[in-house]
Amino acid sequence: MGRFGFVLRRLSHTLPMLLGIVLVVFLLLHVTPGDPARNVAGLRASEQELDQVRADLGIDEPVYVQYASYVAGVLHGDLGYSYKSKEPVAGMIGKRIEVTVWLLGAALLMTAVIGLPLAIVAARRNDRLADHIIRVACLFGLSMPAFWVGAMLLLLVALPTGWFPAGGFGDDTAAHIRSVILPGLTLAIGMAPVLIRSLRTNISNTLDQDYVATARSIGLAERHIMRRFVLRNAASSSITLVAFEIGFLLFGAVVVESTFALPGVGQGLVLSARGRDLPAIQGYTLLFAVAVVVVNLIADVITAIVDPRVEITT
Amino acid sequence: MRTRTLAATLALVLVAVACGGDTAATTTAAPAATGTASAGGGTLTVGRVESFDGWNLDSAAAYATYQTHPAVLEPLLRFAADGQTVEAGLADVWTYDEATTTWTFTLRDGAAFSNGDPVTSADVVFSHGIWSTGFNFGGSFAQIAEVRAVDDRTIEFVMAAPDSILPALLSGSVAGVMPADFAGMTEEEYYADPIGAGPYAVAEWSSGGRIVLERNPHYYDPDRPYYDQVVIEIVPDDNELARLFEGGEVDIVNYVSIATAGQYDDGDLLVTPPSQVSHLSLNATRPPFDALAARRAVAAAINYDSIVDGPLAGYGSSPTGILAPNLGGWAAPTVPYYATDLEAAASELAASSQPDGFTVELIYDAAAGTDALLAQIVKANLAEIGIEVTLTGLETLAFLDRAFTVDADMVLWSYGAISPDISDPLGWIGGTGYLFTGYDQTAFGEQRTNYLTAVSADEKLAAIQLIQNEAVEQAVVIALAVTPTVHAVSPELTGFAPAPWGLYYFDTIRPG
Amino acid sequence: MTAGAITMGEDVTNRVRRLPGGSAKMRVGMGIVAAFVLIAVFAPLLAPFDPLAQDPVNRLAAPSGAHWLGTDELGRDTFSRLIYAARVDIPIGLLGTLLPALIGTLLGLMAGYFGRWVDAIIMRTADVVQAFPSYILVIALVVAFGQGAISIVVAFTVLAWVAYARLVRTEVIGVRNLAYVHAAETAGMSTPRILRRHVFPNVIGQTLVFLPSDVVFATLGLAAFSFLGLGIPAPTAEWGAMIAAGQPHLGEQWWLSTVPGLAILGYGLGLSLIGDALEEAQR
Repeated sequence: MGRFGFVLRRLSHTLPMLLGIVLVVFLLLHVTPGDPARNVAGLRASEQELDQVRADLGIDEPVYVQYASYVAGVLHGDLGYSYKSKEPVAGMIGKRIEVTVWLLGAALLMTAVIGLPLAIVAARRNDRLADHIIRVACLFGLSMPAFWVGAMLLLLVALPTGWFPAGGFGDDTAAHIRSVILPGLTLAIGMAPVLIRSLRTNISNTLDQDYVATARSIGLAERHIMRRFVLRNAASSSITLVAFEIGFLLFGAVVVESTFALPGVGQGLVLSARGRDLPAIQGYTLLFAVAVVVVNLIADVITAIVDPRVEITT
Repeated sequence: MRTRTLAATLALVLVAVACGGDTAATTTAAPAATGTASAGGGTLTVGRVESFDGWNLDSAAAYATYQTHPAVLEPLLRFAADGQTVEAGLADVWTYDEATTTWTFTLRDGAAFSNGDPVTSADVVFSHGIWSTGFNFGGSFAQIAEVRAVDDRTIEFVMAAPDSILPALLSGSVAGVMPADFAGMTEEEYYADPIGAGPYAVAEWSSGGRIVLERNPHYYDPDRPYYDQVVIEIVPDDNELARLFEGGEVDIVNYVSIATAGQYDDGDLLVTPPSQVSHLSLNATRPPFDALAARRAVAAAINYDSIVDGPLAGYGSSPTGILAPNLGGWAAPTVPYYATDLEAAASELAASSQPDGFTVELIYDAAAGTDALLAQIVKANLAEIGIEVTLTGLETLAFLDRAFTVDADMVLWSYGAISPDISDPLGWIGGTGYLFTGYDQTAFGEQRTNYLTAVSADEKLAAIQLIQNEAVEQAVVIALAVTPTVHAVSPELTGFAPAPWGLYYFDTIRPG
Repeated sequence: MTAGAITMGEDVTNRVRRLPGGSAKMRVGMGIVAAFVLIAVFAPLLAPFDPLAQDPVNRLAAPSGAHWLGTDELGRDTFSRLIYAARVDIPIGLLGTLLPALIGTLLGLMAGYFGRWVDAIIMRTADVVQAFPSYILVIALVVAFGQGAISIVVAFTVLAWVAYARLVRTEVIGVRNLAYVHAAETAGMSTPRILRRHVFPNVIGQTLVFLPSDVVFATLGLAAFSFLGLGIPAPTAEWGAMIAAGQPHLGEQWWLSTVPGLAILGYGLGLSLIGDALEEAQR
């Protein structure tokens, strides 16, 4: 059964967890002030009219009733309709997912492209100048707020050169690529240092091992050593790290999408939260939760496959 | 292997950068317009911060919505850029009969919906049924006793009392003409995919994303609109919007906030005459501001000059009453407005029931950048006379909740008109519990009715002046400044003609 | 990893003092952090102006002899506000890290040591928290408690304990099965004593390393919340709020946003040096 059973077990934990998350969001939004009926009925509506809107939207029902009907809807694939604009939530979110996937893909790619080589250099030149320079660079990357970095990149790179758009997502694939480079870089600047730190220790430890020395003395090329021993071990810990960082990535997406005018789910969440558009907020919450769970699961499975030393436990 | 992948990625990126899109390397100075050149055609790109409220005319709350609706759902009349007169829209003739207090409107030749159907009086009667039962604006149509279709092209509006403002009311976006019975759709289906007789039809839309409007082939004027397509991008961060404008990716930015105006080239900004009133509302239903002396103390303590010359520098003007200026029917109060006088303020406070000062809470909309600055100035000003103010910046909906329930000691916000007559702000003032103060509206309501039913200009003037005077004397609502609306327009465009409150029509814009 | 854990039983700071490279780093890091703390403590003496004193007509002034870093959007002295902001950012960053560290460590200890359903409950809760879109929680808290330090600290606590719990739990699981812990159990030592005597000291090492960088994250998080309008309420000076308020003026008065960012950077540098030194001491 082994790995398959592991996946099944994890999935069986997942469903109650997702239900739990949606319930918490439900309750939270229920107790926060800010009346969605007001947003729908308009600023001049009277109290009776607001009551009528509440009845129409079904928000005058007790919380557990609303929750139950929402869950029932989700299981049928119905995520409800935006209170204000009456758009179907699934459609709203669907349009935005693509943008965020591009953004996060670019961010992860750049994190790897920046982080891997630097981590290797830092590990091999341990405690020498290159290592210290990289360390300090990491500090900078970690200590700069994402919105500030984004604004700087726009002012100093995008606007003067015109190579990158000042914002937006573009209409075709080439435009999409150009539009996620700077935002992805902004996120990568925050994430790469974390990767570098963790990998550096990992790689440096591996390089110290006896079997590496043996391999070297046999005459194996450095490149092969890297690929065979080092990267394999590094892969599992970096994947775990990425999975752990997914929360940071999603929060970063909120900030970066706002700074670069990318119409992704981060921006969508901010807009729905402002308007107390409960069905939309719940839709995004569900999406975030599913994303985190799935990423964690995949990470665990890949780690188990790649690094056979790791035991599969719940 | 790693190196090859890296090289491939870099190559891909370089290729994308090199051949994608139309933004070639430009200087930072002149933004490149996207809708240019040939006669007729092209795309106009508009950028906004506010989300769109959807196509239900009555539920409009944001300027973004009021401005988009008439492009698709054109009303019977349109407002002129001077903000005081009305022009022909779907109707080109309108007359008033004093004896029967009836307005008669005649639809113009060629008025047609985007599905080809001609606009008939049945559509107008049906639309009125929808407007007058709306939660938000239904009350504005209360003076209309009955609506009759005389023939296919003529409609009579029988008023309950002598009336002079119906044309202004019918030029507002709320009074857009919809097809009878929603052209066979249910109300919900219609709001998802509306059909109107305006210059544009809806190609795609989303409340927080982009809206794409396409030319209505059946529009009554063959010379308008110029642009085949209007794309509206919603960008919640106004600093980013400024960058998009500078990069030439939007042609027009609506409602540039004063705090961000410095990021644009002066030549690109269009500033309307002042029309927005920033106001500090004091809770008149409970201590300490149920006492006139305390209110007058506050009014005298505020440094209006530092507000107008500070954060509003170059854009703000000193207030002269609580009504939005540059509208038909506006008049100034005949009593002098407050002057900043700390000694007078202190003595007013000393004579009040709380001579040692007190602590109050001021709530403001944290999303409104300028309001945050104004709130801090008020706090500093009042500290000088011993009034301690706690600032609570709230998220917009939470703010409105507390404001509408008259729950806070002080409320800071602003408002402006959406149609060319002072009756519009009067409706807003009344509908908000006299601008969130809970103040007794008897006198105000009386004068408002007098204004609406007045026949002569003198009677109207008198009513407005009484309203203004009462407001100044009672100091329940203290106007802090009057501000204009600011818009950024690409210099390659002409025909951008906003009313003082910032609303305009897409179809008058062309390259030039 | 298990072997490494046992050697951590030694006093970490003693080892640090013995390593030449480590102690220099530690000293520099401590020096920087101490400098910031001192600046915060002696702010009233160091700041030339009242950080709240407005002069709206003289707003957005360039740096000059009178105002070393110019004035902000309401004419307040930027330099004074920068100094006073330390009084907000430093304590909140610390509190917002220590509380989750405490709670997380406690929960991690319990999860790792007791295992089974205790472990399951705690870890499932951790999963839920991790999967939760933090933005919603912060909005709910800010709207419920109002803007301010309380909401921020509560938000951090609820969100950040997970990392510590997981870290500690992994270490505890590694240590739990060791012979001497078994011996203590059979000898009848009470659970809290076992935890305190044998398990905790081995585990504290990892947490200590993680703490300084977590303080940096907390401080940056506070800045991000201010950017989204959910941070410390105006007019209190706070580095993140200053960065956010300076955003519309990045072109002309770029120092308004840049200098507070540099302050965060400097403070973060000091903390990270300490973290690095601690990490080196354990290798």
